[in-house]
Order: sequence, then C-alpha cells, then structure tokens
Amino acid sequence: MKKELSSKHIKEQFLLLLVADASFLLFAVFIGDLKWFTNFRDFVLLISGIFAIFSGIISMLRYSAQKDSIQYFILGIGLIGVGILDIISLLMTLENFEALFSSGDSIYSFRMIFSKCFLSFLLFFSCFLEVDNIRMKKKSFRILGFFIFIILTASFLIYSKILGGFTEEYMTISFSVLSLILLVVAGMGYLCKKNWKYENIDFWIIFSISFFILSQIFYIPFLNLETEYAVDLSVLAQFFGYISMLFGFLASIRDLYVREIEEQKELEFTKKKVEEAYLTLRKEKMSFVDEQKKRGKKEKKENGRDK
Amino acid sequence: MDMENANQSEIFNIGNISLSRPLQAPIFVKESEASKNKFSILDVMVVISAFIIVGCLVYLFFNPNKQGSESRNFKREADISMILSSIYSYTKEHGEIPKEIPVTEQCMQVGNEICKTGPHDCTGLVNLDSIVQDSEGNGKIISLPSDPESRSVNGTGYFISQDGRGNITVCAPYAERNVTLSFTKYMF
Repeated sequence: MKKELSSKHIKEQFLLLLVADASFLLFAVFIGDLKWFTNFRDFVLLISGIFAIFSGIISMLRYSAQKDSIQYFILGIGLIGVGILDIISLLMTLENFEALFSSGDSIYSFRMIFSKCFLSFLLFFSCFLEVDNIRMKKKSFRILGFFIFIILTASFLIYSKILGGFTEEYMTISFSVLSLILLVVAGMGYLCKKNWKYENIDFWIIFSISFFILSQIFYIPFLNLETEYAVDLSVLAQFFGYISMLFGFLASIRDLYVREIEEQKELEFTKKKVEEAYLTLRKEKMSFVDEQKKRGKKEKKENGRDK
Repeated sequence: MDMENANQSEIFNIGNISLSRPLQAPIFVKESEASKNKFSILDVMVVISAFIIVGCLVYLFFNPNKQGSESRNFKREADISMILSSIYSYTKEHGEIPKEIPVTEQCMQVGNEICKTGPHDCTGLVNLDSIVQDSEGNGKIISLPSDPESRSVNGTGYFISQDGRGNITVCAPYAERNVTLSFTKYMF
C-alpha cells in the first residue's frame, strides 16, 4: 500500500515548479540586456552532458537497489545515452574533430536536436510503460535493444543521404516540433497518472519535463528573441531539466532509505509486541496451570475429607 | 416568535434528556467545509505563478522591448556611419585627420567621447566642431547626433579614436541587447 503525500506537500511541490519556470522565463525576458550572457553555450552543453550521464548512473543505481519500477531502468539507460549524445554534439563543434564529423555550422542542425529528440522520445516512452515485476527482467533487455536500434537508425538517417533532399533547417525544426509534442504528451501523461500523489520522483520528472518543454520552445523560433539568445536559453533550460532529474533520483533513493528505516522500525515494533504477547500468554498459562494445580489439590483434600 | 421558540424547546427536550445545544450538523463538518471553500496562500501563489508564466511567454512572443532596442540600434548605426563619412570628407578636403581625435588602442575609453554641438563644456571630450557646419556653411555635418539612450549632458554617447596609421574608429557603447556597434575606416 503506497503512502499518500500530504496535500500541502503536493501544493508546495507544484508551487516550486511554477515559481522555477516563471523565474526562468523572467530571466529570459531580461536576458537581452545582460552583457555577460554570451559564449557560454558550449560550457553549459558539456556540463549538461556530464549531469545527464551522472543522473543516468544514479537512476540505474536506484533500479538495482530495488527493482520495483522499470521506469528507473529506462530513464537511466536513456539519460546516459542523452549525455553521450550531448557530448558528441559538443565535440562536433570543435575544430579538431572536423575531419571526423560532418555537420553544418548552422544553429538549426541535426547535431543540436539529436539528444533533445531522443530525450523527448525516452520520456514519452517511460510515461506509458507499465511493467510488472515478473516480466521486468525480460523486458529490460528488449528495451535496451530497442533504444540501441533507435540510436543506430537515427544516426544512419541523419548521416546518410536519405534525408539529403530536405533542407537541414526545415528537418531540424520539424523534429523539434515533434519532440515538443512528445514532451507535452509525456507531461500530461505523468500528470494524469497521478503517481505524484505518492512518489516524489514523478513530481521531479514533471518538473524536468517542464524545463525540457521550455528548452524546446526556446529552440523552435517561435519567440521574438535573437537566435543566439534563444539557443543559449534552450541549452540552459535543458541543463536545469537534467539537474531536476538528478535531484529527483536522489530524492527517490532517500525515500527508499526512509521507507526502509520505517519498515525496520515497524518490524521491530511488531516483534516486540509479539514477544510481549507471547510473554503474557506464557504468564497466563503459568497462572492457569498454578490455579489448576491448586484446584486439583483442593479437590483432592475435599475428596479425602469426604472419604 | 415565541411559538417557534416553544416548538424548538420541545424538540430539544426529548423525554428526560435535555440538549444544551440545538441539534445541528457537528461543528467539525462545518469547519472542514469552510476550510475547503477558503483559498490558502499557497493556492493564490500557484495561480499568480501560472499567470506570470503565461504573461512571460506572451511578452516573449511579441517582445516590444526588442523592437525598440533594434530601432535605436539602427539609429546608432546610421549616426556613427554619418560621423565617419563626415570625417572622411573632411580628411579628403584638408588632407589630414582632425587633430582633436585621440590616438588610442581602444575606442571605448575615457576621453574619447565626442562632445555635443553647441554651447557645451567639452573638457575631457573630443570636440569635433571642425567638421560641423558654421554660419557660413563650411563643414560637413549640420550637428553631431547623440545616442538615444545617452544621459550625458555634454557628450553624445558616441566614442572616437584613431590608431595613428590613418584608421579611424567610431563606436556606440550604449548599443542595446549585446550588439557591438563599431565602424572603422581608412581615411587616406
């Protein structure tokens, strides 16, 4: 039986989500006049990649600690993949790797959206997958294979000439819109599942999805912002998304630990009660036996007198 | 009224049991209903945050600040290119660069700001009256333009420098939204 979180706790969590999103958007409103906000995109991209890999490892750790939900496995594998893709996309921008990777210099290039698309697909997939404990082990290998298949297919499509007929910018924006839709659906799915009433991790996933949605909104040129700023903000939002995801996994491990302590306490309490009950029963039994003996002696005496 | 009170007292005196309080819904039920209808500070903050998010997105969609900044930056571009062209014409006519233009490595430096046209104190500023038209019509420019956002009393908000090898740079450090506006031209 899952323990429901208090309504105040839930309200506070959602207030935190909205305040964080509002603060980020307010930052975006004033960013145009901030002089220091330049040339740090690559740095944030690198840190994001590292954070994503770290979050993935923590998620896998959580999954190995208690195999109660395959969600951790999917997110773990996916986040490690996303982190690697982020770092590859960063390497592609470096001059030293020009010979190794062939990608355009445009901001709206496949290298920029590869990890974003993969992430949105991953969250969408994790939202609608419910697997019980028995089938989990079999499923985990299939899922791993499925993700590897997707990465290989996408890489083949992107670096082969099949999509060459389309302009790269056109394809990039189309894929970005698709991943935005997937993220919105995943967010709605997590909200409708209402697991956030019981588990902190679901709230943190919704939190990170909200930042990933903001990241996509800034990347797709919908807003009246300079392209460079918009892309910088997109990368920054993605970074905050990874941080919140990491925070969620850590909170989940903490919850697991707290739950384990509570269960241990309950077990101790039950054990104590059983011992007490046993002792009382024993005492009662002893007193009953004594009483029976006394009564037996009394009856014997009475019988003796009668005789 | 008395009849009603009498009836009520009859109702609440059932047999030997007399109720000190009229029969009504238990107090805790009423309180919980009241608390359900009330908005807590958390609810209000949630609603305000949601409005801020929507407001920010709408603002970023239209972004009127960006439009204004861009139009001011266009004016700055036009102004500094006009100043540079006037100095170029002056140099072609006189065969030398105006002596007032300081020789410095950087354009944006103290003492490099161009002084306004008219009765202004040009101490510590670059006085370019030589290129401004006088009453007889000699000069290349009617008046020196000022930066639209400059708060300076005597300075135009535009800066000028030369490298000593014939290159003159005019820059607009007050350009908005991180735009760098700086034009350099070889005068000879």
